[in-house]
Amino acid sequence: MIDRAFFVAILFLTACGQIKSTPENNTVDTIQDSVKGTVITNDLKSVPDSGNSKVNVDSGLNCEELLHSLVNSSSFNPEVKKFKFKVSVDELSGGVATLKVSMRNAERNEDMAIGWLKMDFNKNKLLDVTSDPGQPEELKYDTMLFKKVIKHCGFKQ
Amino acid sequence: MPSVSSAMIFKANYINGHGGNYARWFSTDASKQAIYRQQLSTITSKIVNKF
Repeated sequence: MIDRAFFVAILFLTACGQIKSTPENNTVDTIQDSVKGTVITNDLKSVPDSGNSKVNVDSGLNCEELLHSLVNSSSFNPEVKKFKFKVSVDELSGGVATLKVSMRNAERNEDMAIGWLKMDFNKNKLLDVTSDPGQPEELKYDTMLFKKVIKHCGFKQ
Repeated sequence: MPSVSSAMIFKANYINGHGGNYARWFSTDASKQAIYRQQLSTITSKIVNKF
């Protein structure tokens, strides 16, 4: 009788362990998926030429990191740059990339837009279109980084 | 059924549910909410009759 009770107790504990582990695994998957979903994948190559850029662009940065460095070193709203933000490509057409500047909302598990930029490869301009797309504000930027972004992110001029 | 009006009604209820703090939609962090309000205040609203 004692043996049976012991066996049942072992079974119960084992079952509890299995149930407990399932949601943890799901959480890990969700986090991994959310990270994967936001990364821009490109074949990146190191660029041998050097310039006057303040950012070491040859240090193995990927496209998303280069975009972040470009915006962070630009004259874009300094109040926004005080916080951790992300830059991603929202649209790419006609030699112009629309960039979304966002911050993470942990509660909703979502990147919330705080600004919109346009990167014009033909005119070599970085424009802030957050306030008025019809009257964009021209930003100052690191020209070497601008070129690196075009090259590394596969943007066509 | 998703629609512009249903989205607006949802957001209106969300704002009312948080004491009129519309910036909570952006973040629960008060300092980030201030940036959000500042950014929104610069946006030029335009009335359009076509999309």
